[in-house]
Amino acid sequence: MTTEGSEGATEVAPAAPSPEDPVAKLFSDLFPSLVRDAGKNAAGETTFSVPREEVGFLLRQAREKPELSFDFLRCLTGIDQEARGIEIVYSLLSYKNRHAVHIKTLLPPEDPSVASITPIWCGADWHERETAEMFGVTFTGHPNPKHLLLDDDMEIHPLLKAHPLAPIELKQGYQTF
Amino acid sequence: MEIETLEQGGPVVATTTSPAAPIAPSTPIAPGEPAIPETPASPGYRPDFSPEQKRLEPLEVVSGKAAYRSVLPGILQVPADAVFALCRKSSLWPMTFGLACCAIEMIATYMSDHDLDRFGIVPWPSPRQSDVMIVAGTVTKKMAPAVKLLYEQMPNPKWVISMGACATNGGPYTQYDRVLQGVDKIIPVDIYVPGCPPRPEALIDGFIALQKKIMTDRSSVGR
Amino acid sequence: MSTLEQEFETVSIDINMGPQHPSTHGVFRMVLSVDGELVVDVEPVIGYMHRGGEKLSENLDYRQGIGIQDRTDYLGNFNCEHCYVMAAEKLAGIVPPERAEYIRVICAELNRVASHMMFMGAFGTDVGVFGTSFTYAFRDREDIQRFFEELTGERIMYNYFRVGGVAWEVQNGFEQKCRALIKRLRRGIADINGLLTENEVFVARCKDVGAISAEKAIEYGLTGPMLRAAGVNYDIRRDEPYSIYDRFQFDVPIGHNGDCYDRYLVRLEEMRQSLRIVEQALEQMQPGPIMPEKMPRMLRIPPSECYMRTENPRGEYGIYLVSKGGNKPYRIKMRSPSFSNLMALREMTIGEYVADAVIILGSTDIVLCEVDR
Repeated sequence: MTTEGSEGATEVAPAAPSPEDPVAKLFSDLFPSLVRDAGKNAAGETTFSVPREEVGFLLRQAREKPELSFDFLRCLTGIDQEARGIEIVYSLLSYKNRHAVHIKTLLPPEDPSVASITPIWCGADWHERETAEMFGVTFTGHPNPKHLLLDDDMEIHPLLKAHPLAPIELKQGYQTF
Repeated sequence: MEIETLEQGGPVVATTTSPAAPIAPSTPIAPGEPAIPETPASPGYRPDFSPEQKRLEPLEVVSGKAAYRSVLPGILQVPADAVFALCRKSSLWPMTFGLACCAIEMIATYMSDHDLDRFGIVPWPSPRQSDVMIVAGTVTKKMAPAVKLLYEQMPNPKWVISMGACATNGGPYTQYDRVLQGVDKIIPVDIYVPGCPPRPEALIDGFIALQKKIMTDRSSVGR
Repeated sequence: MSTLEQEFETVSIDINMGPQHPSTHGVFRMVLSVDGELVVDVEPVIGYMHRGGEKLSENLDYRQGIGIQDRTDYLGNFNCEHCYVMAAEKLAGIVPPERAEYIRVICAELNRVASHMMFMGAFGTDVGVFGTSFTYAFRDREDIQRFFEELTGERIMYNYFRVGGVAWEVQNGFEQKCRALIKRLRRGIADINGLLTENEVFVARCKDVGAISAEKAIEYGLTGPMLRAAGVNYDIRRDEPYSIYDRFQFDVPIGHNGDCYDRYLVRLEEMRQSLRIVEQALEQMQPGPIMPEKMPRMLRIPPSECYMRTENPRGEYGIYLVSKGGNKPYRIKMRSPSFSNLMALREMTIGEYVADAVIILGSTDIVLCEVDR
């Protein structure tokens, strides 16, 4: 388990690196080369990063391996890290083994695409569509990559930090009496 | 159906002599050809203009004064207007158009605690048979064509109550660019009820103000 | 194809249940492809209420953002507020005082009762008891709203929780009023039970309609009463306890078939269990402070992130909060239960009749502002 101070871990809350983190240990035993920057977030749940090419493989193993068996995809979050790219966080929970994990991956700004995990959990369908239109991420292999919340032909990505807020349209100026 | 052209090569305008004729298509039609071929199977069928464009065109406005206003002008009109306005204001049927959080307070106003039925106000799902449209909630730009379509589907005389801050000017969500900053950008609004959400008593106050407005405007609405 | 089908050439029709339709679920559009009366395909279209709650919260500090949370799920307001303030507290390392926790739990559970009451009213209307269950449900909702109005000043968008505790002390006579309210709510729940549970028409319309299996429910990410009705024994309050839920004794109702009738029964029983929790909280509550002593005027949170989740009336409401220092969140992702529950609509509706599509949609108990945020 690597400690903080490496490049990608400045956002993770620097909780004291605890030697017993069973979920991180499970993952690093099974896939030692893929697990990076393992630590705990502010709520005490395991967080680690994977390189984006291995995301599809790792998540499928997370679902299918019996000692991991993460059958519930809780949340798929996109975070705009501006210059570094777009970070995607997959939050998983296992009903059988009662453990939770957050798996992060960073997409470079010039090519924000990652494999779609809809074949693994069909509940990732709309989460991915929404993240795609809000951030401009491409999920390769998604069965229905249409817009979900925005109109069908919109080309804007509202949740990027570069996208501004709308100005308030005043119909008449303020009057002074 | 006759087609006549304006002088100086102006746009082709189709007029009609039959009472219920279709609206003119946008693609030019050679003279002598039927205006819109009947079935998709007939040769030369051109699918009509897009439904959006058709929906958002204004309906034909009936002109001319109503009969009771032309006969003995003034004498018959004054009591007739008062009676019509009294009937209209005492039986306003709003279309149930709750969009967001304000819908919950609107429903609470219909229910037993703050009864709207005692004013004659009965919620009606269909726009074709309702008088008032209460826009309760945020109107987004994706929803705006539907709002306009529903407004156009309501028969005259109709009124609009804009309930809540979101329908008035965008409310707490005004700075997001997918939100329409006020429903009065697309439809004319008669009464604004402020609040987020407005209390049921505030909505009842809005209805009473609308009733006063109907009574005050009785001689200037309608034909 | 049988000879009868060969004689009649039928086509599937697309029926558009447009953004405005009488079932008061909000602006949701379904395009049903039907073959006669049987639904062949469903395409839900959402986004008509996409108001940018996540983007706007990035510009509001940790006290202003509570207002946006209220309006996201406008029926389970306190539960959403609870999730947000707990997430901010986890990042800032603030522990709210005990009395504040008890007040929060009482408010959240009464809000759950109010939300399920709204479900009873709306679901009864969808099934065909047009208007009757609505008026009974709103009688009880108005009681709860009046109670909350005395407490917070607002009927529906309470804005009462703060990071660190609650905004102000409870009203005079809080405990007596709360107990009287619980008594009236028990009578109200018994009324709804008598009206709907053994009603022949209700049972015939809801039993075995829109069933979903437990494996599919987990895969689609269903949570809350939808998941428990399918048979999965999981409740965040009991299994991943947050706040002080581990001090209360309550049962979690589980269904068998995953159909609409089971969902109704699960929600009915959850209301009773919520009242149990409120009674225990009233007994255990002690006088004390409601905010920690040294609370900064402007809360600044060091760089960190976490995922906090609560058991909303609709399911698991989660907030993934990312802070990079400062008094505003850097990114706040609201994982709403209705969003995931609605994904399973297609699976549940294909193969049912058109009239049942409305019932299935009603039984998912969605709130469109939460789906679209």
